[in-house]
Order: sequence, then structure tokens, then C-alpha cells
Amino acid sequence: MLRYLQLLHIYAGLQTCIALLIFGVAGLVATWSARPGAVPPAEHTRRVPMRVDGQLNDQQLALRAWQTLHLPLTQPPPDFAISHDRAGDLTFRLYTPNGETQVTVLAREQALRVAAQPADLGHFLLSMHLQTFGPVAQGGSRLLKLWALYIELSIVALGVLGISGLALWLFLRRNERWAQLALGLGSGGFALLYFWMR
Amino acid sequence: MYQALRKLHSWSGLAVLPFVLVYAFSAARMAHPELLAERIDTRTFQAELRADPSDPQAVLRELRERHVVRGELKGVRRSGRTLTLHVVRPGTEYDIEVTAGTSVASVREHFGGVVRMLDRLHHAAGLWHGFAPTNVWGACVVLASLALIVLALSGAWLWLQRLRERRLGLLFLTTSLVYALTLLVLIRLQ
Repeated sequence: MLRYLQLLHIYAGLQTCIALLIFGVAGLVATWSARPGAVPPAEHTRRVPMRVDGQLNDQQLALRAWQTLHLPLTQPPPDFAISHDRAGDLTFRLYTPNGETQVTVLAREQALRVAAQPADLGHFLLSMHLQTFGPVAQGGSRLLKLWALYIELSIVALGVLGISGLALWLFLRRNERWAQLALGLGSGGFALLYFWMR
Repeated sequence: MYQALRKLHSWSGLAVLPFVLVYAFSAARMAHPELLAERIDTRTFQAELRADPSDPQAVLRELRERHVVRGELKGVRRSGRTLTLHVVRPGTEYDIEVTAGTSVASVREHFGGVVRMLDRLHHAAGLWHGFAPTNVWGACVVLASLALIVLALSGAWLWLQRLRERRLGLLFLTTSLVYALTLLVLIRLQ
């Protein structure tokens, strides 16, 4: 039993070690991004010609704009993401792990204004850590779906690693004073913090 | 060296265990919200106010001092004579409405259940919040993040020293590295 638990802990850890590193980096990037005065990435704007048909409704026009741009990793903008700016132009935002893109349909100019905010490596990894099959994910491509599979397995593995690690310690080395102290500090600190915030 | 790293791995893992389990649970729940519904209890009540109703900071300070609300100011909206404050702490949110010329604040409290609380804790990061417990949590997020990096690297090094598990472990590690790194590079290059 103990041997199988050890093997489970070792192999689950090896299978997900890249994800664990990404989860760790994501936590640090999220902390750093929340600092006061953090500036969003610079915006790069370009114009793309597009024939704007007055017969199309907002959803159809947004779909046409998305098809014209053919931005990798994106999927057609959902209805709730489509709106009009102050000038009355139709606009929507596309998200991928590589950054965000604001698309505006300039009907009078028969063009699209494409304002891209590319993500740096830290924010790319932050975004990659939340790619699952769930509603938050941006899984519009096969690559992102394959990645989501890895992240979902890693989430399960994270729980397995935690529980098997605790069990291994209880079976093998529960008398280690410093380990007891670490567990007590972590668990006690968490409980105190939880009820302080509650 | 082996003993030192084993202790580092074991102690850091035990110290951040509750945080890691909370992250794993809330991540799984966010990925599949249909599996476990979250509960939010909403109640509305009125609180007397002595502060100037046009000054959001003064209103919040008074309500905090009297323990009517706990959290940080996340938004202020003015609509005619009405001022609306949005105050947040992990798991709980308040919408406070104050109308000029009155001495009563109308407070709507949205108190989340445990699932909601864990979900919000997963999203809480940073050390610069206007609510001290969230900043302490933010510090714990930094420690847990560093611990995850230490756990991954020390775990891989400890495995390398174990001859019995080396062959099959190499298979798992290689598969993981090839799969994850290939996808990371391909997605980044899109």
C-alpha cells in the first residue's frame, strides 16, 4: 500500500511538474499585476479593409469581422461581448493567451480598427494556467483544447499530490518536529485567515 | 544534500498543503461549475449614518468603524442625489446606497457560501488591498507560489536519486515535458 502511494506521488508529480511550475509563476504574476500603478501593455493599432454590408445585424457583422481577421486561437465573439462604442460603431473584444484584441467596425470607412495588446511571457503563462474546458477558458482551437486537457489532469494531480504527500508523511515521518510545525503553521494560519476574512 | 532537499520538499509541502488543496478544489469547481452550485445569501438592511453622504470615504469609514461592513472599496457610482458604494472582501460583497439629505444608508449584503468563498480566494492576489486580511492572503499566495516552484524542482531532483523509479519516471517526465512544452511553444507562436 505504502509503496503504491509513493509511486503515485512520484509519477503524478513528474507528469505535472511543468504545470506546477506554471501555477507557481501564475501566482507570482497575478500578485505583481495587482500592484498600484501597473500599466497595461502598449496597444498596437492597425486598419484592415472590410466591405461592410448594411443588411447585416450586429451578430452577423461581428462574425464577418472575425472571419475577415482570422485571428489565431480565437472563436467568434459571443453575443454578450458585442456592443457599440460612443461613436456608435460596433465593437467587440477577443481574448487569447497571447493577448487581447479590440475590434471596431468602421462602417463609414469600410474598414476594421484592430487594437492589439500583446501579452508578455508572464501574462501568457498566467492565462495558460486558467485554460480548462470550463466557461472561463478561451478554448477556440484544437491546441487550446489539448492544453486544457493537460491543465485539467494537473488540477486533479495537484489534489492527489497534496493528499498522498500528507499520507506519506503520516506513515513514514510523522514524528519530525519541524514537519509538524510546518503543517501546524500552515493549517492554523489558513484557518485563522479564513475566519478573519469571513 | 538528499536529506536537506527531502526536508525542504516535505516541510514546504506540508506548510502550503491547505492552500494547495483549496486551489485544486476551486480550480476543479471553476472548470466544471455544473458539478457544485455556489450559494449566495442576500439580505438588505438600513444603517444610520452621521457622515457626509456625499463623501464615499467618510461613509465607508463610519460603516467600517461601526462593523456594519467589512471590506475594501471597489467602486463608487453617483446617480443624481444617490451615491452607491461597492465594497468587497473575499466571499462577501456589499452595495451601499446613500441619498443626499438623508442620514440612512441602505446596505445590500451578498454573503457567499463556502464554495463561493473558496472561489473568491482563488482570485484574490496582491499586497495592496484596502482590507488587511486580503493583503495577508496575498502574502500567502506569494509563499504558496514559491513553494509550488520549489516542490516541482526539488521533487524532480529527489526522483533522480531514486534508482528504482527512474525508468518509468523518465517515461512520465519525458511525456509531460514533450507534450506541455510543445503545446506552450506552438500556442505562443500563434
